[in-house]
Amino acid sequence: MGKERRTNVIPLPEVDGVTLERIIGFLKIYTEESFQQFTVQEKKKRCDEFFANCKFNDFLTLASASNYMGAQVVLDEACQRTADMMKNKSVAWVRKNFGIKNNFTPEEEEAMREKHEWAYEGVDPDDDEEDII
Amino acid sequence: MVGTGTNRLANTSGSNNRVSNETAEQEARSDLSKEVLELILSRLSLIDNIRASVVCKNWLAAAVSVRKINKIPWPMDIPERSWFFSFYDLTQGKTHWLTLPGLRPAAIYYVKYGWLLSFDHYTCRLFFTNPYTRTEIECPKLEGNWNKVAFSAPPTLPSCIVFTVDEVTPDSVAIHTCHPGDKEWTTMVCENNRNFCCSLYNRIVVCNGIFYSLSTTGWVGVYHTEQCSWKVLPISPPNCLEIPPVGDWWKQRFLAEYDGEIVAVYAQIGVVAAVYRLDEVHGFWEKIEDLNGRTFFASLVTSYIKADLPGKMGDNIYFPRVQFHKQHRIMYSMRKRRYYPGVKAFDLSDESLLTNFWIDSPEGPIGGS
Repeated sequence: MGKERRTNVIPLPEVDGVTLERIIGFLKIYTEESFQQFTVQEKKKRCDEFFANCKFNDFLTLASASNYMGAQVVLDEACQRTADMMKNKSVAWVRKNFGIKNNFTPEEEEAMREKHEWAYEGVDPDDDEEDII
Repeated sequence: MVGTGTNRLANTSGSNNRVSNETAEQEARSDLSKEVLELILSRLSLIDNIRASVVCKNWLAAAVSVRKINKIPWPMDIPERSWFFSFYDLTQGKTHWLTLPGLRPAAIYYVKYGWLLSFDHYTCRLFFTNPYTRTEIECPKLEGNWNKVAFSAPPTLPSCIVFTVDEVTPDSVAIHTCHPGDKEWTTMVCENNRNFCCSLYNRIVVCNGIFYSLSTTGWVGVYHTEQCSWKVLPISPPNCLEIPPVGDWWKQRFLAEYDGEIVAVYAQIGVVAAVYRLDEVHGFWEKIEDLNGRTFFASLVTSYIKADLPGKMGDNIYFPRVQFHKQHRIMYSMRKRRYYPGVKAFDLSDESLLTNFWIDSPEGPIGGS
């Protein structure tokens, strides 16, 4: 008699509850087609509302989750906002904020930097006080 | 498997909370799928993409796979007395010559997508030439037109519209449009604002199906191809005090666009330059100090703004010059606010600075003459 009641629940191991709710909330209001009807300004306003108070890590979580769920508008926006935050940042900044370990040898990295020397000048200073994660 | 910090907190204990929290967040961040990583990297400019490729080996592969490098346009020279047209390949330091007999003595009105739009005054023949493939495409005859003509897309596409505007009375203009290959022009007479003057020296850019025409007076006339409407924008010309209206000042203004933004350069070549962005929403020309890393290629015929060019070309304005054994690159650095080379190093009376123009480089190697 200990039969488990079957429910229509599909577990999504890749997405946490908070993010899932958020994306579903967006999808309830807009479909792909309905969102494309807006003007550029209107789209920006709605995306700004959705992404308000998001930190860098949130963009990444939303990007991964929306990719998994096929929520194209959220995916595009999350990727764009991530890219916007990376603009003109140093390699060290990117490694720190993405939590990436450098697996190049010093010689390999040096060789790569020499190839396009011009690209490593004039980056924004790494602000340690600013905690954007 | 991937959770936010708060979810993980429930599973850890004691003094390890904070460390586990950070580790979990790190895992979340570094756990980006290849697909999502490529989507993010594809939105970076070339320079950010190059930096991203040094982050780690995974990122190198992803960055290179989505990297886009745009090509630097070539300056092109119109010969005065010969049929030898020359182009200079800036990246390879090579000059190419082509004989293009059909182009002489035609005047080049507009250049875009590697196509020249030329007008032969004797035969009133208006036609497109692709100097690389030697293809020619005809337009309907243009009777006695001495104003600027422009086009919106490669003439091989059905969407291409050729446009010119003519004064009828001081208060009205005639807008002429056609598609390449049409038998005749479509003409529409519209009300005009006297601030806008029709001239061969007007500068025209097209974006989103709209032709923006910067008159020599500094006022902008706008033609919507879909709505078939014309109006002169109620936006006063920028108050450019640095550049006195002396000499051939009307030849040293340039107009280009990128991503729907209209940018004007007011220059006194060798001395000073001022750059403005058209803010249609607020109704003024906003002075800007950089182009967001993009590069402005200025010429009387057509100017371009390009992004993602290799090397340190960002926020510079380049003037075209095809000359042998001489300095090929004359540019203004917006960040340094100066010209290179310095004024004394080049001859300001050199007409070629203003008669040469930029053309997109060919896809493959070009044929010999």
